[in-house]
Amino acid sequence: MLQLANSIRDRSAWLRIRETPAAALLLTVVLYMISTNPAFRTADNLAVLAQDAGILGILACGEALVILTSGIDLSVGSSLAMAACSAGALMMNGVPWLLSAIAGLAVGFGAGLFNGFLVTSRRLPPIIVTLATLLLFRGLTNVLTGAAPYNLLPESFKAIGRGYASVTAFLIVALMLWVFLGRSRLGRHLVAVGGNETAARLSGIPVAGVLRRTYATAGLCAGVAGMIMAAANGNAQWTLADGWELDVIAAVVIGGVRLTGGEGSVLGAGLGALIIVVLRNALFLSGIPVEQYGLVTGTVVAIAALTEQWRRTMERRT
Amino acid sequence: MRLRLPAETGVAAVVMLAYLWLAVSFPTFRESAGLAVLLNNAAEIGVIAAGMTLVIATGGIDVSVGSVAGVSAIAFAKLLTSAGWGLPEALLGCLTVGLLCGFINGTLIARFQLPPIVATLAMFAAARAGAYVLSGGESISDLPAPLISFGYGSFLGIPYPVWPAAAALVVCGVLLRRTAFGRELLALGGNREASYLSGRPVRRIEALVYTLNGLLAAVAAIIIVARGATAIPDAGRFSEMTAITAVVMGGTPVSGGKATVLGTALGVLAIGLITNGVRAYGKGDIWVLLMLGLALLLSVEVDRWRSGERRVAA
Repeated sequence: MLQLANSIRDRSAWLRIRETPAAALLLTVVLYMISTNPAFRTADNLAVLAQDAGILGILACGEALVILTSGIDLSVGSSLAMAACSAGALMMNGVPWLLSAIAGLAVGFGAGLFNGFLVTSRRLPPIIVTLATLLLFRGLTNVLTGAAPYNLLPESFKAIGRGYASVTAFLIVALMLWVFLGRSRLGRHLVAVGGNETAARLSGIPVAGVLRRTYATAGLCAGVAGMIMAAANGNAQWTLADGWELDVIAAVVIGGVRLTGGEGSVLGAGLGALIIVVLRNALFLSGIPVEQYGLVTGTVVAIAALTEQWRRTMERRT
Repeated sequence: MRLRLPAETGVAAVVMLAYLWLAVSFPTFRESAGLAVLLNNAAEIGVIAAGMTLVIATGGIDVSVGSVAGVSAIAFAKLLTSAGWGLPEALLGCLTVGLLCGFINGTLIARFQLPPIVATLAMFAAARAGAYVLSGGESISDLPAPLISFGYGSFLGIPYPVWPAAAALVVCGVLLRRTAFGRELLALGGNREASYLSGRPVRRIEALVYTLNGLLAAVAAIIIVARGATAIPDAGRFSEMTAITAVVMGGTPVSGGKATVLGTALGVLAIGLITNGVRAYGKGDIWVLLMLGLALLLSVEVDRWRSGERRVAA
């Protein structure tokens, strides 16, 4: 509270909060949409918005952890599809939905663990590892499922994708990870590794263990998002979330998480995801074809990164 | 004394294995025509991977090349059809579009110090969308006959599209090994800070590398359009992934400071072999991705073994 009071008194302190630009941008876009487009504030549209925001938000929270360690995970979309299809296959074979969903989460976790293993004990650069697993997981999912969709999912499972369940899950995940980063030992270690890996190692932080857990958590987040996405679509298919890794990374960047690691927050990544989803929705409501959204998201990513760069030079000067 | 194997060992092993596999299972592969088809299909990846080697040598990455190729391809076809330009002018126009995209990347990265992956990610999204805006989502055909014959003809038994690919690889190899620019570039990739403090024109070199990469993406676009006889807004999709895979497989480390264009050429060949092999088996393109992922892991693993790095993180 005191900190907040201080920031109100000292105007430049607002600039020092990393999430300010993202929050301001989100507020502007939402206010603009509310005032200009009546279709935006209909209950149906808000429900769609909440559903998308939940899925992208959960992915972005996991990605933020990886990027905070100065790594990157390009495989989240593929891990999501693999987890969703595993759960879908089990459900179609009569396994109770809760058990199948837990198995799906385990697959996501395992995918993340595999990335973490390659990054730590094989000492491979994260971008190469996750590029390979992006191809590998997607390919495996296609081959193992025979490209068949799992679309006869039980109603009780589909319920977890309906209404505001997805955005609630996102808020819970974000809150948990936020507390985890700020309050737990592993969380502090994670940020320390991203800030300066050598320094972290020399101060006795088990770097490899921290990294493995980070990638595994990102995989688990992809699993959670996968369950929600499959439930929301009523269909688990190998093409699920194809190409989403870029939207996820864009969300994290817009949220002010530094790509070289060590600075940023889950909160920012969540805000970034909301911005992307609201922008997509705004473009959709204006009748612009999906393929053209990139012009807006690309520009927003570049502007967000430039703002972040400018903020840092300002900070250095004061 | 430990025998030091060259950096291309891993990729050479992959190429040999893939070739043996194909030559044994498909007799047509042993004929020169089979090889010509393979090279023709790999041509645009060769062009893109040549530039990508230089980018990765600086310690950067460029994920936008596929999208830049897409927007250049559409611009090229639009200039030829709706604008009614002649072939030479349209070729120049296409190259200019690629150059401009690369220049924007270079400016964002070198002048404004954005991380390469962020800047090129933004371009990745924007350029692809630009291709859709320009084309209205339609593919463009009715292209001039000389262009299409370029896509199908051959010179000295080697398909036309392979020539610019070979040229791009040779030029990038010479640039890297034989010129001051190449040395500056490797120095920048090896240690940016040291390079800057020794008064090297770090920013100019970095900007140039990305601009060159944009230009090469446009060259790839011309090949794609000529070979397909149409320009689709989706042209070049996934080629950035394939090109990065080729470069890394070839033995160029993503940490920068070292590079081998020969390795990249072999990487392109390996990808061509794998792609053709998978298609020869009648499997879908998803198998190509699967095999590429495996080949990538295999070659970095061989590279680890070669460089004798057994170190495990603490």
